[in-house]
Order: sequence, then C-alpha cells, then structure tokens
Amino acid sequence: MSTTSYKKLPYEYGFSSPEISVFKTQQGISKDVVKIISAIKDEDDKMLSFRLRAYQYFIDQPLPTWGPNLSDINFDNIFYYLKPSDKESHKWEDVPTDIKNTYDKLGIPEAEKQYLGGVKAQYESEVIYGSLMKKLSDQGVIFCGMDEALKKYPKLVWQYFGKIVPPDDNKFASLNSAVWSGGSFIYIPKNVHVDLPLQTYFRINSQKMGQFERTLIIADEGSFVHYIEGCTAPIYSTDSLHAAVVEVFVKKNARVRYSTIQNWSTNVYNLVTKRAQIEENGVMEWVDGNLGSKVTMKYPSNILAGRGAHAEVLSIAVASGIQHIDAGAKAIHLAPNTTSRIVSKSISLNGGHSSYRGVVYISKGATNARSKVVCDALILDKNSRSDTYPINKNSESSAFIEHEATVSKIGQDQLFYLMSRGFSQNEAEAMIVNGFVEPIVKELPMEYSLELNRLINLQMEGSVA
Amino acid sequence: MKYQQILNQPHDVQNFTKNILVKSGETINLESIMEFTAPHTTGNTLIKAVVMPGGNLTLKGIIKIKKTAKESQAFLKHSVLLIGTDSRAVSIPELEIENNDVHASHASAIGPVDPDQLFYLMSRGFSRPVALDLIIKSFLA
Amino acid sequence: MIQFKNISVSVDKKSILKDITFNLKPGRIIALMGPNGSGKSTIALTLAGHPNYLITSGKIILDKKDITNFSPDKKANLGIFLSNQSPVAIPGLNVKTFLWQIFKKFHPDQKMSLSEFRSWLSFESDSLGIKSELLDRSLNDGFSGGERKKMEVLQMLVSAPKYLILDEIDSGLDVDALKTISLRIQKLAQDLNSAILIITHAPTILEYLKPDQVLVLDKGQIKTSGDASLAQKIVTSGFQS
Repeated sequence: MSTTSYKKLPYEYGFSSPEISVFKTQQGISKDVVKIISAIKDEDDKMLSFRLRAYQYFIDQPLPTWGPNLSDINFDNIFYYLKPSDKESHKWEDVPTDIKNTYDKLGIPEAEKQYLGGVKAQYESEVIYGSLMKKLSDQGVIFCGMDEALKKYPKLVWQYFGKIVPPDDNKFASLNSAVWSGGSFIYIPKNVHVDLPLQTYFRINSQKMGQFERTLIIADEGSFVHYIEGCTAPIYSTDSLHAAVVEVFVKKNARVRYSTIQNWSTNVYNLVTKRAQIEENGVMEWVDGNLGSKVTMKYPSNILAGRGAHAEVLSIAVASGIQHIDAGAKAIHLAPNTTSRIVSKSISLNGGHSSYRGVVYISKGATNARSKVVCDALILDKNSRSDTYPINKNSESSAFIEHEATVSKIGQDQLFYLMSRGFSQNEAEAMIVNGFVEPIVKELPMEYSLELNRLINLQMEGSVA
Repeated sequence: MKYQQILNQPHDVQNFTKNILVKSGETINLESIMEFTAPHTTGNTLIKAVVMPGGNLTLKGIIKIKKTAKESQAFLKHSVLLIGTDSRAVSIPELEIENNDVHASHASAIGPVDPDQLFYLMSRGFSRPVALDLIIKSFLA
Repeated sequence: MIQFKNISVSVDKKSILKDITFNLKPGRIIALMGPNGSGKSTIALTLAGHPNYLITSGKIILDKKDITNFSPDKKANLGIFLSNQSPVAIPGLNVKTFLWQIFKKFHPDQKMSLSEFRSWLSFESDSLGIKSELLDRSLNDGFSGGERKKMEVLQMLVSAPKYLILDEIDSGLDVDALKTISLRIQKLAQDLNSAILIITHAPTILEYLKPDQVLVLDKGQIKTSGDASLAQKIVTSGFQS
C-alpha cells in the first residue's frame, strides 16, 4: 500500500498515527479495500456493513450480456479511492493536445483549463459560492457533499439512501454502493422553490465530481429545484471507470429538474444508474447530454408511484469515432393518470455508434396513464451506426403508449434548400444538426446551450477529441 | 410465430402485414425480422392486433439494415387495441442501422379504442357492444 | 445575363429536359408555362444546382462564367435565388436567426446592427402579411402553404438577388396576398434590375409581373415561344392549341 498512516484502520495493519497525508488505496478491489475506504471516511458500522454487502453483490453479479462491450474493463487495475484534495495532478504537458485545442476553441479561461485538464485539483470561487450557500441555508435547503451529509444528517440520509437503487440493483450500482465517495446531497424543504440552479460545475465544488460519486436529492412536498452537473468541456480523466448512482425523491406536488452534460475523455467507461421516484402530482425532468466517454450506459429511470405523477427525459447523444453511447430512459407507471414523455435525439458520426435503449411499463391499475416516446437518430456518414431497442409494455387497457423512431441522414432537400441560400455544405449541415438537437438544447441554461452547440459543431468539423 | 424476410436483391420490395385477434385468455407471441442487405430495397411491416379481455400479446419486430443496403427504406408499425380489462400487450420494435443513406422508421401504439370513434358510432344509434364490435372488425379488415 | 444553352437534364437516369435554350436578361421577365410534368420545375431546380438533376449536355453561363456544375451555394452567392414550389421545413432553425445569417453573408459591408435588422424585418414581414409570431418559430415548420411562399419572398428581400426564379409562387396565396407579394417582388426587381423566371399556371400573377417572353414547355421541350399575349391564349384555349 502506497500510503503513510491513517487513524482507525483495521488493527491488522497496525497503524496508529493520526496524521493524514496523501492517501490512495492499492489497485484493485477487495473486502479490505472497502473497509479501508470506510475507515478513512470515519464512517459508522451501518455504512460499513452496507458497503460490504454491496461488495458481495458486486462480486456475485456478472457483467450485463447486452449493450456495449465491457470486457476491456480491468477491475484489478483501478484505484478505487483517492482522497480528493490530494489527488495527484499531472502536468499540463501530459494533457492530450486535442483536448487542449478544444479548450481554446470553446474559449475556456486559463485557470479553468488547468482544472479541467486535471492539473489543478480544485477550483472554487469563494465569493460566489459563499453567498449562494448562505441564501440557501436561510431557506432551510441542505446542499453539501454526500460524505458530509452522512456525518451531519445521518437520520435524514438513511431514510432515503439506497432505497430507490438498492445495493444489488445491477453490477455497477453494487460497485458504487461498495466504494462510493463524493457526490451531492440535496434536501429541499416543503414548499421551498430554489430559483438558482444548483451546480456541481467546477465553479462550485470539485469534490462532488468523482469516479464513484453518489448523489441523493430529496424534494419535499411542493418544492422545486434544478440541479446541473457536468460541463461541456472535455474532462481529462485518467480514471477509466466512472460508475455513479443518483437517487431522486420527488414528493407530492414537488418538481425536480436534473440536467447533465457529460463529456468525459474517450478513455472512460461511464456507467451510471439514475433513478427517480415520483409521488402524487410530482414532476421529474431529466435533461441528459452525452457527448464524451468511450462507452456510456445510462438510462434515467422514473418510477411514477403517485397518482398524476409526470416524468420527462430529454436526451441527446453524440457518438463519434470509437465512442459507443448506449443511452435512453425508463418510465414505470404504477398509478392512475400518470404521464411520461421521452425524447431522444442522437447523432452518430466518424464511425461512432449510438443506441437508444428504453422501457415503458404501464402496470395494471395505472388507469388512464399515458406515455409518449420519440427517438430520432441522425447518422452523418457511412461508417457510423445507430440502433433503437425499445420495450413498450402495457398491462392496463385504459392506458396508452405511443412510440415513434426514425433513423436517417441529413435530408437532401433540406441541405439543398440551405445551400441555395448561399451556405456552404458544412455550414448547412451544421445548421441542420443544430436544429435537430434544438428542442433539447433549449432546455439547458444559456451558457450550456451555447457551449453545447459549439461543441457539436466542432465535432462535426472533425477537429476535436 | 417467427417470420424472417431478407431483402438481398437490389430494388427488392417486400411487405409483411398481419392482422391478429387475440381471443380471451389466449397468449400469442409474434416475432418478425426484416433484414436489408442489398441497395434500393423497400420493406414495410404492418401489424394490427386486437387483444380481448384476458388476452396476452407480445410483438417483436426487428429491422436490420446492413452496410451494403444503401438507399433502402424500412418502415414498421405495431397497432394494438386493448379491449376490456385484463388485456395486455408488449411491443418491441427494434432498429439496427449500419448505413446512413437510408430511411428507417417505426411506430408503435398500444391502447384502448378511440373514445371519439366509439361516441360517433353510438351517436348513430349503435349500442356500445355493437359499436365496439364494428370498430374491431373495421380495424382488422 | 444567364444563358441556358442547349440544356438536357436527366433525373434517376430518366431524361426529363431536352435541348432547352433561353436567356435571362437583367430587367426582363420570362414566363414558363406548360402542363404538369412538362419539366418546368426541373428547369428551375437545374438552374439552382440541385444535385439530383444531372445536366447531360449543354451549358449554363453567367456573364461569361461557366456555372454549369456549380454547387447550389456557389450559384446563390452569384445572385441566383430560387423560390421553391414546396419549401421544405428545417425544424429547430429559428427564422430570425436564419435571416440574419443570410443578411450577413450577402451584405458583409453593411453596418446594420441586429436590432436595426430586426426592425427592418418586422416592417417588411408586416407589409407582406406575415404573422409576426412566425418569425420566432422554426423555418416552415407547421407553416401553411401560403405562409411558406411568403417566407420565400422575405428571404428574397434579405439576399437581394439578381436572378429570381419563382416556381409557382402564386399557388397557395389568396387574391390579396398575391397582389401584395407580386407588387413587392416587382419593386425589388426594379430596384435591382433583376431578371425573373416565373413558372405559373394562372394568368393573374402575370398581370403584375408582365413577361417579356413566354415559353411553353411540353414533355421536356420548348414547344412554343411568344410574347405576353401567348400566356392569355393558353389560359383561354389550353395547351393543346
């Protein structure tokens, strides 16, 4: 183990000094690694045994037999824990050139480039951050890291932690449940509306982004919050596996919007379990932008448990080159008058492979439930590929499921029309592609939508990672 | 029931249509695969079904367009009416597209009889069961 | 001047036009008439450079430059504007943004600010009878046939072309709308001394845009040619005379 000392480690290792210095676990995962992680975080036995149970589920479960190829993941080669503030930074010279070029093209300021490139471990703006936090706490809102939440609000956390995504849910949720670290905890009290979106964008707090982050959001009755994570600039990460878990509880009459833009570098396997449970008349909206990673598997799921609950998933995937983005959504209708809407737009180019995978299930008794799914895919060249794998299951004869999907290239007539107005072929293609994703991009806050459009255009020019 | 069609000759046109009545208590599974390997081919799959109370239907429809099937057109539609209570249906329309110079689309709908249609017929003097029967018969015609 | 010299065109390996010749001169109007399927739109689309229309022989010359195989954008940048018979929709492309981009492309030296442009746009679109809310929507997405035609005219006003090709611009427009846009096109053409090629079935538009020459097309060939009175004759006696 490449560490010095740490308090509270299992006796077998004989450490006694309380000094904290740079710490990272050995490569690979084992029961001991899980124990060490829990010890470093100074967790109680309840979380330790949760982690250990999850670890066993992880070992017992096989890799999924469907979807992208995951056989290259070497579980023994991964460092499962790295203390965030001592995260080893690499030199600016080591950051791949194409990523540096993208930062330039997106107009990212110098200091932010260093952070995104992994050269600086943290980026916080105390002034903005400080006053925002005060305003929130005055309203009774809790917004902090998951680690901190477990320590400060254990009762609240344990009421919800692992309840929608149990530790045996799927192999990668099990892994996350065993070694999770970082992530956000948000609690919005009854009838509180948080007007400013809460972000984990590096401007707020770097510790919330990580390989195995665990996020838990609880919107109490009648409340509203918009949470944004990720950023459009490519994040250079040497960590090859990101397995996050997000659980969202939308209580009666509450509304939560969760926006994600993911652009991990193309060495990353991004395997995420995101799920919301929505009570009576609650509304859950996912806006999901998938641009990076080598492989993404992500299907924001919605359990419409209360009468009149509504869920929306707006998803964009851009798969270029070696990328395989397998994304989609799930809507499970368990109560009457529930509604769901899934809109998926994907673009495959330069040999990229994008797939939509979704499930809509209306159970018997979910009277008058309605679901509509629209998937559109653009394949820009002959080397790229697109698939659609929907499952629509209706067991309630008064309920209605509608689904449509199209796959095509850029329309010749549209291309000619724009070119006949003087735009070059490249300009015309970019306008059509931007128009294609516009319904989803317009749901993002302005800075993100501008960056996202620029990024898609750069990808089309073939000049970025 | 499994149906497989391959369009492997340029300019091939194939249509697959099926009207299914799933009777009370019956379970029917139908899988159709349409594979396009040659250019300028056209294939349409249209399946209409009515599921009576207690009936159970699973429809799986796969469209595969290979790299060699440039300028092909594929369309699939699953239309399912659920009658009464306890009728269930699953529709799984899949697309695997490996050539971009194509047009492929699918549509799937599973739900009850359109209440406007029912109202229209009843307002012309037909009782509810007769109106329903008329709608089912014309749907499957 | 554009010289359309002995042009033959085929589409999907089928021959559609045979040996078509005419000249589009600045300030002059040519009316192109003929039964459905005679190849009128083919001439329009070929002139605009649509990739599906293969020129198998002949040349298109613009002021001594051979533009026969120029791409649509290159032709547009030389001042050719096609008003489509059935303008296609581009979902997600905002009309105002689109028009501003065209403006910047065709008038790079003009120092108009975006808000000045928007005011000008408001004025012109009101005069054409275009509902202002359409300007904030996606181009032609859900627009009626008449609204799309008016949108073509609005684009024409922004790019200020030297060569106007009007493919059945009158279809879908009511009597008043037809008068409004015809007069506006007339004024534009006068201001710029533009040449107009107008494809139509009905005589009304030709009362506003009086042709100097009328060409009658049949089965891909020019059957007859004459002056404005030929148009009236066709309307009264049909194409068979």
